[in-house]
Amino acid sequence: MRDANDAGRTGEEVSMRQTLSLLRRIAATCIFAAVFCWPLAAATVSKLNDDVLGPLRGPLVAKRILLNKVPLYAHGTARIELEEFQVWAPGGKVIVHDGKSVQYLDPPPMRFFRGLVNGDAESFAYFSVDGKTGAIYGLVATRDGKFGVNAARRRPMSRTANDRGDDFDYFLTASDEGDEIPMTGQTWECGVDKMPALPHVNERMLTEMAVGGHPIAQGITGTQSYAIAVEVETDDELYAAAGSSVSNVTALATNLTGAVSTIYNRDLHTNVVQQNLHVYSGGPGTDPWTAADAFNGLVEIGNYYHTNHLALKRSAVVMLSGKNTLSGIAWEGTIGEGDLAASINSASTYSGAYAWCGSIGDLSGPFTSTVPDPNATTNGTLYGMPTGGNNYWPLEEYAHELGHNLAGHHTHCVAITPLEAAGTNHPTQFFIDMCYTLETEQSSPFGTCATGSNYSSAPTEKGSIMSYCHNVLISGVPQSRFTFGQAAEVSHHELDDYMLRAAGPIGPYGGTFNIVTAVGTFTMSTITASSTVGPNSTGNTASVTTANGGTPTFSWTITGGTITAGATSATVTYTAGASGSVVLRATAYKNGTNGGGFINGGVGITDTKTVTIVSCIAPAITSQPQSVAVPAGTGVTLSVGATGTSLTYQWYVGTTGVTTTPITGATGASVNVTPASTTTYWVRVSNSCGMADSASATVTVTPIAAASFYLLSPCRILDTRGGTPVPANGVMNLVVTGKCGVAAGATAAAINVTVVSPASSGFVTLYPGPANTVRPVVSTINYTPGRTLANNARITIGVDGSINIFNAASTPLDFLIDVSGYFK
Amino acid sequence: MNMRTISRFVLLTIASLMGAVSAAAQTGPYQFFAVPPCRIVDTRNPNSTNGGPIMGNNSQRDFIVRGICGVPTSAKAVSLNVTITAATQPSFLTLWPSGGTRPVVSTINFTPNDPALANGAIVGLSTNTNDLSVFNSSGNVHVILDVTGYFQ
Repeated sequence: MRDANDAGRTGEEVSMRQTLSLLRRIAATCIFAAVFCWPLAAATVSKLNDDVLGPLRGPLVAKRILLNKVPLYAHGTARIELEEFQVWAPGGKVIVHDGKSVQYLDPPPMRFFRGLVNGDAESFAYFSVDGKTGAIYGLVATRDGKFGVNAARRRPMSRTANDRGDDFDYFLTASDEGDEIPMTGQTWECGVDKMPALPHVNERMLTEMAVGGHPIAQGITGTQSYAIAVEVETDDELYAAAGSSVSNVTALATNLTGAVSTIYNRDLHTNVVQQNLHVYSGGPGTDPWTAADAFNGLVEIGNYYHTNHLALKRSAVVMLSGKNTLSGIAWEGTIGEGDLAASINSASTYSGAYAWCGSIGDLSGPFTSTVPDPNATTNGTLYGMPTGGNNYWPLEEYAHELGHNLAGHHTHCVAITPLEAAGTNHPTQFFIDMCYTLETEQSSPFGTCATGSNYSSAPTEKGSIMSYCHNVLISGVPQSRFTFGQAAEVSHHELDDYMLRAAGPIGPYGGTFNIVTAVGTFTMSTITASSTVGPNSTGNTASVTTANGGTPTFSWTITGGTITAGATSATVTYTAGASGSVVLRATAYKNGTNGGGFINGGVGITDTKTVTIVSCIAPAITSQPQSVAVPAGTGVTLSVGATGTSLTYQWYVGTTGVTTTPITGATGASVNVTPASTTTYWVRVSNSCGMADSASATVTVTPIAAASFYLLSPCRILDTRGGTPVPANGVMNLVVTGKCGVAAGATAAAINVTVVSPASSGFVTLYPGPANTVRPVVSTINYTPGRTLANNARITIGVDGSINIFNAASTPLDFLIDVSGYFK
Repeated sequence: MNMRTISRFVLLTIASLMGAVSAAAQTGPYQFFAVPPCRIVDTRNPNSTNGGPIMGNNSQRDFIVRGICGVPTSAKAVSLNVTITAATQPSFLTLWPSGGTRPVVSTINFTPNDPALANGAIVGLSTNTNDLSVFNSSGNVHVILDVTGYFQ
């Protein structure tokens, strides 16, 4: 692992806030140059069809989705595992500046998926689905190649006699012919022998992610995850290049952010979310950006944000410029730092977490491609997603420059040096960026990667996102993999180390970081809801539960119905539509905890469930009839609870399913029975679309013990006179067994009761003990004021040998009980 | 020995209720089964077999005892407490197993001056569905029967 003295490292890789270091920092950024521009040898494979990609459009897309048999290879297919994720920060807007006014638009209805190919930790898969058109844009990368996917809705004239009749045209575009070679081994230019084995974590990671919202993070210990909120700027040049369409620019930027987030999430356990997207639609010269090159663009955007958005919280600002600069540039180690005064060259300019990416969507000149067409029917570049060749440039540049903001340096390969392998402490420069030194554009004995001899032998397809040389086009294709590399590779290692240490309020570079510290993982259940509801039915509920992470924030969206309550609660209540289905979509997310943080949704989990609207809902038992034991001769009411439409009931004697003995007239939700002996019952609940049988309920008839009479000499067993009377409206408990000869175990006594000169009218209830027995609504003697009165009775004795004497009167009562015999 | 004791008790009690009419038939012997006290008839309740209306002048009602309050259908006699209330005339009640000729006995005597009055009794049950008859001699009166046990 890294040495403690990393924090004090020096040299041009280190970014400090002091002016001198700023000078160095800018030097450590990169300027790309496209040297060669060869025609792209693209191969289009049209084996994709609705069967392969259709699941992405389905309303039942859950946390995980599997695309099978994706024809990435000439001699085989790939399996792509995906999870849905969020690209837009909650509340994020598309802010359109048309030169006269500013409009705030909601993000387009897109859904986003990310994952891996064939469980390969180094692979990359990103898809978005246009919520309106169903068009799918995707980008898939393995170690062998990169594949663009686009599937726009088929235009009628594009149908041919040989097509399958799918609703969509599918184009799978490989960046070159070699991409169709099945995955093979690889060679590494630097320290290949030191490469760790590929971690076989992908199945597990995806599973954990699906279950617990745990982002894929190779080799990362712990469960932290991060989110950085990116304010995305564009310019009028990009708007023009995108056909002067706000929705095209929005789709392009959003998909780029989604693809970048896919890489960052997988490698750096960091979600990149789009906070606001600025689109300038007023025509040439109406945006605030006048700089003609990347360097001045970077300074310009820093100054602009200092002036106009000083208080805007964000983790970084990324410019996606349509200017044909062939380069990008960014400040290093500045993530979360919105406004660092005293920038390079001038104390009056500002730096911070700014990344400037040029030639995004510059579809002419060195970045020649086919004409963008959202309804493309041939291999082409979609605004939704680069589909091949040099169109990987925007993604790699975006990821690369943002990586600088996160303190990533130029590396492309394994960082382990012989010194480190020997376990020797050593200065940073001995193992950071050794490959960068070799490929440096600066004073290297090997020349620069752009012009020197080293370039001609630069490894192809093997650089990481932070590689400098590999982002230079070779054969018209940038050569970086869509990865920060393995956990042990420096670019990955470095950024991860940075992220971990930046989790506190004060990061290693002295700023207050708007990195949202992870909120820890939590889990969310799948949606619990009835799978069917009635047309226009009200009060339907759906719920999710979360665990292992406290209380997240919930967000429900429902199509095909109307939320009536609980849109931000764990349980939502909704009214169903008239027909069709209701799609329930629950998202749970948690705010970050960093004091300087902004973004919501540090960790978010989504689940979707489709509920069918049916005119007849099959019966379902909600509460079962309960077994009970009663004394012989006692009536019992058995009840069943059931849901469904227009239910009918029929009760039967016997065990569940036995219909030979229906009970005549027992056709309600409850039935009264008085079985002479122990009997089992059940009920069938039916309607026109189904039936449900209850469980069996047994009424156990308990015989009452027979008793014989034992005659006693008359004996006064209670006389309250001179003692404690029976309280007004109160109960006296009296043990009778063992007194006057009443034997233990007696079940009843033959007595005479007497009320003595009552002060008020009332009545007395004698009932069996113990003292807490519920008093039955009966009476034993009624009395009037002043009248001493007697009554004869046989009273039941409780199992504890006691009786209770309840006096229903406003005054205490003197009471006598004379016993003449007992039953046992 | 116990059997003899109980049979004597029952016979004596029934005989006393029936006013010592020499023609009283003897059945049994029976044994006693105590049940939790349970209100089986209350004419103050809404009209039903064992509920309202109030008993009228010179009227008879036949109530159902067996199968309710833990008294099985095989019960031959019942131990109960008879309570009257809201009497409008001096009167008496006669309780007897339904279906037979009303015996010349009285179970409880009362006047309108009695807000409520009770007496214990043991009464036979017939095999009719409505197995217990109650006769009110004069005026209107509410009748309440609370069961405390049965014999069979």
